[in-house]
Amino acid sequence: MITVLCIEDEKAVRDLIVEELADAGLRTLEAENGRSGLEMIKQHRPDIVISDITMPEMDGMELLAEVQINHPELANMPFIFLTALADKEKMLEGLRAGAENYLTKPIDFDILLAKIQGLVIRIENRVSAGLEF
Amino acid sequence: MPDWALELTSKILRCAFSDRTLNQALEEALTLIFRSPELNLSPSAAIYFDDGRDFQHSLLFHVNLVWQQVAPFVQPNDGSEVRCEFQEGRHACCVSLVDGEEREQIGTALFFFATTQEPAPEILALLVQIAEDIARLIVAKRKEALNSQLADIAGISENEIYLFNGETLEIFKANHSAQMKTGYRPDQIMRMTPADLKQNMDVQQYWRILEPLLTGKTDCVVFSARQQRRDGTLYDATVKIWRLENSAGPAFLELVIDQSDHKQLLGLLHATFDAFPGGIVVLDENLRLTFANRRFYQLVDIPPEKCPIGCAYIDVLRYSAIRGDYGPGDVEEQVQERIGHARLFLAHSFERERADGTVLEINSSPLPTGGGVVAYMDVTIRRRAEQELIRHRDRLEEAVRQRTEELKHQAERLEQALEHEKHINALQRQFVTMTSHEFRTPLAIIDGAAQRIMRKKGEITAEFVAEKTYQIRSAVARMVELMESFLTAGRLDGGMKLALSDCAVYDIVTQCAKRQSDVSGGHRLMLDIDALPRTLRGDPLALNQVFTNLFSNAVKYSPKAPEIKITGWEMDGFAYISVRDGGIGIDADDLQKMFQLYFRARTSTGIAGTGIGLNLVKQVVDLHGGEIRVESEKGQGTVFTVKLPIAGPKQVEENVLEAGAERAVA
Repeated sequence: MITVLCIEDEKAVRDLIVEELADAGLRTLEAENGRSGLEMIKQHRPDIVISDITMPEMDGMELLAEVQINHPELANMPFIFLTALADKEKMLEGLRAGAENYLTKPIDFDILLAKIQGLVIRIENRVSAGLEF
Repeated sequence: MPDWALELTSKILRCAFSDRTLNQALEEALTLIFRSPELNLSPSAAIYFDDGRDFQHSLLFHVNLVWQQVAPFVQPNDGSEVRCEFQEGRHACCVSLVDGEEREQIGTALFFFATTQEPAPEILALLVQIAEDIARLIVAKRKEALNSQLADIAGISENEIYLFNGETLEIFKANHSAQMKTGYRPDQIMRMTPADLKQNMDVQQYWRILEPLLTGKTDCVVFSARQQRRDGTLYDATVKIWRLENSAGPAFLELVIDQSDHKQLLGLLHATFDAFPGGIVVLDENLRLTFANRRFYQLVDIPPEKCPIGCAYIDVLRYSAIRGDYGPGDVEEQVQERIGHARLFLAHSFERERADGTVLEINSSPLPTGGGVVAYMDVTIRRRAEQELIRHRDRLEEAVRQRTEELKHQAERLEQALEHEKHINALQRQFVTMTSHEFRTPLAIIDGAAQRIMRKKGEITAEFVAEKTYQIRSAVARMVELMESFLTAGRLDGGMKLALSDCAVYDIVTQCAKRQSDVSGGHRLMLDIDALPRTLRGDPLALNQVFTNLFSNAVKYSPKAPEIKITGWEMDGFAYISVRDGGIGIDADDLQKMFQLYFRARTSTGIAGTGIGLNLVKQVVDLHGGEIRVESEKGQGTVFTVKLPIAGPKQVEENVLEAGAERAVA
């Protein structure tokens, strides 16, 4: 089963995302900021990460950079930004930093789920081909 | 001496008594010598002369040989009369040539022999004799040439030259100029005495003039005289007389130098100098005035009769010193110092300002004949102009400096304004980004909840609906709050007026704390406000905004420290409310900017916020006539303390103005 980690400081938003993912048949993990998110990633190695950007302690950008630089073995893990920062500049920054996708709030769950499904297929194919990531 | 030798020497001497030149005479004499068979000088032999001092460079005369062949025999004369040497197959005999009268060596004769045998002593003696003859010949010829040169000079001289008898004073010789100047024919001059050629002078007077020469007191007398021409006209002249020793008895030579041109020139020179705008004074080597023009007396302001031509320069200096031209001090010291300088006759230049303000430039330059010239120029106007120019330049420079300074300040002010503008722009950009974020987050909750309801699979329970509607309503409440704060900020922008009443500040703080506790489950807001007055004069809505902001900030910026402490008390007519959290804190250098519009502290990175709240709080507190203070330590937490006058603001209008002005600065 595919595991998705949801990192979001607004509990209400996080709850909505997690409920929706669970309904879609995915296993979910939760973290309330970048720092606890990093711990979860190292500990549970989720298949996909969905992360907010604006968070206390460690924001989403910092988290992605930390993973890219200090944990190269996790660099292939799909990383989706889901943020209220909707300006193009920020979006380009996130994509350049290595994010799989950059989605903005309010959340269109159809699109979010479609992206996740696409990734799930890719990951399952890779696993069946005997490729690790 | 054998006959042939006597004949040879007399022939040699005869060579001198002809009108031949020295070279021609020598050539003839030498030919006689080396053709004389008895001497046995070979046809290639020769005689050389030199000036007796430097053989190498002053070869006077030679026959049949070139210098390279002679050179090996030639050496500086060692003083002996005759010297024989044998070199390169020849015998050479060197004999000094000596002027018999002056006892001065005038050369050396070199005789080269054809045979290898050393010449016999009698031959050598003869050669010495010959050398003496040759020397005599040279001296005679040279004297002859000198006399003829002197005669030539006397003939072409423009001055009158007379030779006259030492006993009768009769002129026996006169040059061409004498005829030209006087107008007398030579035969007429011959019958006259020099006294006859002078105005108002008889022979007796002339004898008196000659007296110093007759007594041997001096070699030459000089006097000024007025010469009279044959036609009776006169001219001024300087006359010089020498005594001559003549074989025929005593004689005198009179030289008459026509001074009429000189006098005329001198007059012209004086006129020129008098017309010259500068003062000129010429000093002789004894520092006496030999000449001074009119302007000199004017410039130094001395009457000419006080210091006439011929007076000592020191008198001029003393006159000036006594008058006080050189400032206070000992007059004699001043004079001696200056005369000491003058005595050096060095070229130098200096300026002196006289008591009346006249500036004199004084240049002194030495004369090659001794003495010197001192020139005085009135440079007052030039100096004034220069000083004016300098003052003008200084004023200009000062103006330029001030202008530059002003420009610099303007540039600095512009730079500051630009910086401020940039800062504001950056803050506004950040504000727009954060505002968008702040609205999107509750919108995401609302939209997400709605999507959840739509997509809910299976039965929708009452609990589910309640949960979702609660989420939606909370988000809406948050947006309303957000909007309120924008609106308040907007209202303040237009100059908000407080709606004052006796507002229940105690209740407001309590309610705000409860509302905050309700929405932030993780934090505990601990109230210690028993000492807080129940009411104060203020605007309840605005104060509500203040405490809502402060409490929500405390929660927002202390994610890991759940305890928020709110303390209230009263002191000296003021109500105090402090909010203490144990959160992320603020950098020390950010503290003073905390209340600027749109400002966000560096520690707030990653925490949503608009930069409006605290600015709003400050404005409201200011309008109430209160104060707000912030203390913080990074990583340790922050305390905001609000101080409000219980009696309310004294002059609301004024405070509105003040708040407005302060914001304009921010």
